[in-house]
Amino acid sequence: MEAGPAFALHGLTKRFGQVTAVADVSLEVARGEVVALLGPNGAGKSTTVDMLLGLTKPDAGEVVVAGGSPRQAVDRGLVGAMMQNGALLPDVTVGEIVALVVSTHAKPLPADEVIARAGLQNLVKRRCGKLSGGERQRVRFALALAGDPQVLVLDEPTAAMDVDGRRSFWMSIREFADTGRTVLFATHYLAEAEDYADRVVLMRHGAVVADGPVAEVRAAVSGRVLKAVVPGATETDLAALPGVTSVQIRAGRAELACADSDAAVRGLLTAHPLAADIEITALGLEEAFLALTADETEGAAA
Amino acid sequence: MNTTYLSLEIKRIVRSPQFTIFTIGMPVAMFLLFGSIFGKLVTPNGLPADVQTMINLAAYGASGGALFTGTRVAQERTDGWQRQLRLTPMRGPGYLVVKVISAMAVALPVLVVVFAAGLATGVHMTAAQWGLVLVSLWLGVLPFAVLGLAIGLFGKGDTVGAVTGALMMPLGMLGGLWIPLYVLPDWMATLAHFFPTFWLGQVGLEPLAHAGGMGLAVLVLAGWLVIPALIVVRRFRLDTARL
Repeated sequence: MEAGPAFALHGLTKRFGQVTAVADVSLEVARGEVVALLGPNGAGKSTTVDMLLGLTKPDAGEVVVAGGSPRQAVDRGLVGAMMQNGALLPDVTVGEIVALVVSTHAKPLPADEVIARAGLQNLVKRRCGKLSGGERQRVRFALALAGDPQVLVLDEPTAAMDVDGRRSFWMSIREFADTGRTVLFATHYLAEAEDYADRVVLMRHGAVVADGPVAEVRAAVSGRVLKAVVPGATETDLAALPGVTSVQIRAGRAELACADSDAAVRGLLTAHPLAADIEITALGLEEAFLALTADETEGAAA
Repeated sequence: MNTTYLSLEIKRIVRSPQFTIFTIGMPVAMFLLFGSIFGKLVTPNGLPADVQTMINLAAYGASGGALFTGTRVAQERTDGWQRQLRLTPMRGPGYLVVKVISAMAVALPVLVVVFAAGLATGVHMTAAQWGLVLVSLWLGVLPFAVLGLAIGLFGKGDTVGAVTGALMMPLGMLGGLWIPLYVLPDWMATLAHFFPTFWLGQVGLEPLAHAGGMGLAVLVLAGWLVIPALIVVRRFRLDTARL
């Protein structure tokens, strides 16, 4: 195996007409890392994935996968990908389509192993057109594995799966990653990023806004949320309290985003002794995600 | 070439109802009908009518089957299968070659089945003639496979299916493969020269009629091969840049 990162994006930019879908994205992923790519719809995740795979040409910047271009990596079977709604042939059986994709590779995984890793043993003779959404995802996963890739790229992999399907799918991914492969998955299920990724990359407006271990990204939007019923207080009053970064009053209940929740709670009780129902919670990745992408949501609503 | 893909592709075509019903069933049924109408009449080029009807309808079935490759390509293009293949080491030309060769491969059984129907109803040719006509028609189908591909790279799956289906009627009728041109008005015989199916019929008949038209027919069919091939190459480049 060659040294160097599993893949690296340098200053990637992609425009579609007036819209800049991806703006100067740089990202380096080490071999063996499992990375979640998070972001709201339109953040540029899919375009970034397309450029990583050589399906879309960047307007500026460079992609290096396993030391070469994306096309070289695909040709050598070093990168495998499972695309959102990736096409299958409806009139072809699972066994046939796996054998077909295996046959395109110079050094493939044996078809039997691909079938087993994707948990398709009972579906080999089923035509692709007769599969459920979750089953189709497993076939797409199998096709991604066929070339025995070092880097596995998954775009919204569990979208059509039920809870059980999701769990067993992630077990297969984990097994695969434990053999030293690199995995990048785009998702909007934050729980999946928290549970299965070593590292989270958050995108918004085509740019990377946070990148680090799950715990670190959560801390990046630092702090906690203090919720309380504060009779007579306005948002301006509460925003002036020490340690508070922003305030929202919803249905009579104040929500204070705090950089320092200890200072905030002391200040709150001094200034507003009648404050009741006080609750302080750490931000989950979900809140971190919402905080980081907040103006996107507001922008969309406006 | 990827032989796994080729054999899968042939299997897919053969097991589709479209193939059994339209590609094989139609020309056989039409041969049995027209064959019984025109019978053993001697045609202006000196051949018995049943021989000519059999050759024409074999040409019609095989060329139509080859043309339908385009529908399959258009469907796969709409579904994103070509994009999926770009995540494998298979290149675009490899895909196109599989499509053309599989179209050629399934044209052969179409010819054989129509010929078998001919044999069963008393069509007479020498062994050498059977072989020569079969090979000529089979090679003559190549332009239709490429033409189908060229059409298939332009529309969506169901549109291309409808267009190809609609094309088959004028190609068969006006190309002179359904009803022999000598029973039709002169202007229709002239018009027929503009259809590649007419020339395919000529390629099939020439080994028997020896009317000296083989060279011209081959040349015209070569034109019908080269032009769509150029369109395919150009279109496929643009397509992969966009997808």
